Amino acid sequence: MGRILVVDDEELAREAIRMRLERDGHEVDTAASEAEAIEKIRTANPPYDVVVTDMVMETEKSGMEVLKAALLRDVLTEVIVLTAYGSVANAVECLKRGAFDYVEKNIPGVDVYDLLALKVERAMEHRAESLALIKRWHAYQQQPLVTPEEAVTD
Amino acid sequence: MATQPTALTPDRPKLEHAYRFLSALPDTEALLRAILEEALEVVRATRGTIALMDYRTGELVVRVAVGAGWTDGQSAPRWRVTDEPGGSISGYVALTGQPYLCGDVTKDPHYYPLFPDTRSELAVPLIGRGNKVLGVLNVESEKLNAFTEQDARILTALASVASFALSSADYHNRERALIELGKDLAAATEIETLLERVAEVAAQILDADDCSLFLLDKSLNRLVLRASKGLLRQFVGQASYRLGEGLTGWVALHGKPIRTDGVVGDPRWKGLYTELLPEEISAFMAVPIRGRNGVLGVLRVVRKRSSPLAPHYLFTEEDEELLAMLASQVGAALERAELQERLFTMEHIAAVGELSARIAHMIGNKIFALKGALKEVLLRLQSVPLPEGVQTIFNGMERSLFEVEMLLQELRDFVKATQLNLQPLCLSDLVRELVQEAAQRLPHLQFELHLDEQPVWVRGDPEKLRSVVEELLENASHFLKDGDTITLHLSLHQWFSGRKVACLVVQDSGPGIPERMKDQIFQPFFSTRAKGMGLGLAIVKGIVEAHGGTITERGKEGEGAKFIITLPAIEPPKGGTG
Repeated sequence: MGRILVVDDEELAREAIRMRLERDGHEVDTAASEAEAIEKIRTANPPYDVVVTDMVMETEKSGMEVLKAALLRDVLTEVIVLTAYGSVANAVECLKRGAFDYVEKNIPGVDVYDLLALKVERAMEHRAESLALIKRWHAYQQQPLVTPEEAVTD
Repeated sequence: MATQPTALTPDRPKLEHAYRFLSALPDTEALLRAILEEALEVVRATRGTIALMDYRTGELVVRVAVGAGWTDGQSAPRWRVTDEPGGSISGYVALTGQPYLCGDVTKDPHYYPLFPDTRSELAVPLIGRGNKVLGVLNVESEKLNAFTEQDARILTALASVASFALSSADYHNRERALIELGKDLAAATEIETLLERVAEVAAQILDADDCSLFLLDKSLNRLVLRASKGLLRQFVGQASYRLGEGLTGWVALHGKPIRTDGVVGDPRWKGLYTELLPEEISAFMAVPIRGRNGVLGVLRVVRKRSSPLAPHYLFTEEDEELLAMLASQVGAALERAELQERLFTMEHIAAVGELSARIAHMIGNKIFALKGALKEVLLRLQSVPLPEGVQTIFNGMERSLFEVEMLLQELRDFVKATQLNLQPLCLSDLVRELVQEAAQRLPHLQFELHLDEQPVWVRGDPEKLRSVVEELLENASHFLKDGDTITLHLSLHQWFSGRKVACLVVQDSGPGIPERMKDQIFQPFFSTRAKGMGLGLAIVKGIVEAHGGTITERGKEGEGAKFIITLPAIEPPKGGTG
């Protein structure tokens, strides 16, 4: 299971997400602000697999800063942005800059915690696929004399 | 005859006195009296009168009488304006507009005997602007051949002073009324009061018996009576003309005034809503009320015939200028009021939008946290048997959280209402589709749809316009019983400015909207329903107006609600069949 950082300035929300993701067996760390999140991302070793961050915290674009920090630390870290009312436009901007997905916090009649857990799952898969691809790419580069047929059947 | 050249000399101080009177504009009566006294002295007459025209009856009425033989309290003589024998010399002068010198009244066909000693008479007309006869100055003497041509010239000069004074007094009165009205127009906030006032003042200064004001209702494309001074008062808000219909509709359609004697025989006359019976109308005048983008309405005045025989009391060119000026002031006031209203609504909506966005964001975050906490509690209690009733409490909590999120969504829709994704769109198809959907969703209601054969196209945001129609249908359904009907009409209208508009009418057979609520239904946070926060119609209005359209409610309480939406129409795209 993954190493996940949950960033939200609302303590109750942060804890609820943490508990929900731990239920799926993830190892969850939390941060209560953009600044704390960036610090934790920078010093994390190994880097987090998935970062779940709220969009609006210190500023309207805190989520974007967290995303930037996460991708700087490890370009394959998957970032899921949480948006409350009114910040969807910023969330879409995050997608353009490399976030994995975003989840709206208030969708009437939808269990967004389950939805978030599902998206974290898929983010993990995506990261695993990316890592596998890179591994294969490295392996490919280290095999100087390989025929195309062999590469395909690999 | 030898005294003629010096006739004026001894009396000059008095004449100067009269001119001073004139420049100070005292009451007209005193001035006319001074002029008449002057006249009697200058031409050495026994007595005299100044009679003024009463255009309502077509008669001359004596306003001042000076000299021997008149007694106080004597009722003022009235003379018909006529050339019939015995009709009076003054009456004849009023008819011809020429001075009349009579050396021997006993031989004069026009003479009307009033005093037994009268032998000769001299009468000159009082001529106003446009050669209009205002009255007659008449002097008489007990001597035969008492007056000369020279006397006639002197009296004509004095009469012109009187005419000038009368015209000035008239201008003065009009000016005062206009200044008063100008103040009202600048200060008034209630447009209805203002229109009433304009109708009143216009009737007063134009000496009209009635005045009515029609304004163009763009959603109905009709001229609706908004103010009237007299008989039509009870039809305010109801009486209406199509553009081009009747004289009133003609004025609005062509943007030109009409000034006519009576209306009988005019092919444009429809007589739909009249202040008077057509044969009672002595004169009719209507002018367009213009705004920056065309005609906003029509202001019309009528004069009544005092008797079937009375001549037509016509409106003059001057009257028309005056009415046009009043109309332009009304136009300016209307546009100002509309602008203010729009600004207010826009600011209101913007302020509400910004505030609600902030609050919704904060609440949304808290709700999200609460949902998560509640979920965690439920998950932890899964394996534990719950005390009785606890599950119901949890269900209630979940439902409440759900409802709060629904409210947040409503707020979001409201704020987003004006952010459009415009594209050519066949409104006919959209409406047809939505009615079909609604008929399935609301099987207990009847739906009627009337579409033009030609598909109606607009530039619009499909999602937003869809939600407009859905909201109106949804809103109606809340007030309808089983078997009630919702009727939709979609048609293309052409305004007189040439603009084409799509007009969608959504009408139901429910209880209708109470008169006292009509002003509020489009305001944010107004609702009579327990559910929701009353943004539905405010969102609808926001969307329609963002499309450059209008929405109004025109139903009558007890007869169902009737929403009318107009949207700027476009030509169907080439090759598109809808």
